Amino acid sequence: MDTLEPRMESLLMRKTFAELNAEERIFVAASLTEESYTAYHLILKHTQSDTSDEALVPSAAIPAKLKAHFDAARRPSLRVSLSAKHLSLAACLFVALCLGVVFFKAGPSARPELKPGHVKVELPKSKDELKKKSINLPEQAVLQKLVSHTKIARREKPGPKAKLPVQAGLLEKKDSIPVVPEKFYGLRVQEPLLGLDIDVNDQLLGLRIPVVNL
Amino acid sequence: MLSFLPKSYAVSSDEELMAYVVKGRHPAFEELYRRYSKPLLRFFYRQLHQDEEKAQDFLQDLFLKVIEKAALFQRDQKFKVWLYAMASNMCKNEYRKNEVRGHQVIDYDFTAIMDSSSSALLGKFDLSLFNKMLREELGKMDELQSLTFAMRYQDHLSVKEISEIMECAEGTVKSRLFYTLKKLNSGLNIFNPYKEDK
Repeated sequence: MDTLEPRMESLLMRKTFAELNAEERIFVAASLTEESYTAYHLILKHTQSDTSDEALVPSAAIPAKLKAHFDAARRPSLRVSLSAKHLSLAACLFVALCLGVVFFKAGPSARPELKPGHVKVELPKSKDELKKKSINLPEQAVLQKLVSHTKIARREKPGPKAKLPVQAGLLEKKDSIPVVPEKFYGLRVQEPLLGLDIDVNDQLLGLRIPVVNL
Repeated sequence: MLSFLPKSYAVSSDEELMAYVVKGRHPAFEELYRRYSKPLLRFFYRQLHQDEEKAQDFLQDLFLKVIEKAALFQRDQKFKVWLYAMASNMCKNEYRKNEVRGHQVIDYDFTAIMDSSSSALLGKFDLSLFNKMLREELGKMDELQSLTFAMRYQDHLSVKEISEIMECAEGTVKSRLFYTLKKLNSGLNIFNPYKEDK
């Protein structure tokens, strides 16, 4: 026998050799002599019933020390449980916020340029000033633009009849209109103002060109 | 639900109490201390060569560890196994320290006992003497065997629980128990009635 199997252990703990029934005796005799069985039984029985250290009591000072340590270590109200995930997320948000603040504080001049070239135009503040400070664009160029937009306007939505002769006159001259320089690409003519007050607004170039009474 | 009602920690399982300890409930910790302080004090006392002062220190340190490591306790684990595993590791560390320091195990003077207690020689069983010698015999044994034996027959842990505490197979536990019993038998042979008869 190399191990103490549960059945043998149970018998050793509970019964003396004399108390074993026939079947149990056969089982025990297969691996232990009566002498060793009795000796093992004695050891186990008295080991289990050993009450010599029953009088031992934990020191009265221990609970107080443990309570102080418990309060210091796991005070629920002051305890902040932050995982690494939360901390990294907070760090990312903080960095993003900082970058945003820096970007907007620096102002539009510091932002990346989207314009193809610089055209410094002093924008008028009022409508009257706007009329006075109209920019002199080459007449032909403006005309070309106007023609193209008029054509589109006629196809889609015919304008008022009273203004048609003016527009027709312009259209007659379309073959003689020179090619518009590249810098005016993207100019937009607001339709309702055709023939009256054409607000040419180039957002890309930053130009706002009022064309009055063409 | 009904968390505003006073909790009856006395009927809670060890594992439930640990969950409350993690949440910072000191009464749950007190209940665990009430349940385990005495058996563990006895465990330390036996394993540390009947040094009561040391056993008290170890008991305090063990429950300090419970507070500190409460968050590491997994709910599917058995608290008793977790606690005894920490306690047995503390004992093993102590044994290692004693080895380094050249600690000497007190050799039991059988002759003196035999002289002072003639009952053994007269064939009468002296329980207190037997227990005294049993402790000494266990003290002289290999620590793993001694720990295994004490956990099984003094702390009444199951073979399965001991195998989990000692991190070994159940067969290893059974084998240790058998060899410990054999060794004890040879050491405590004077109490064997058959020997007296011969």
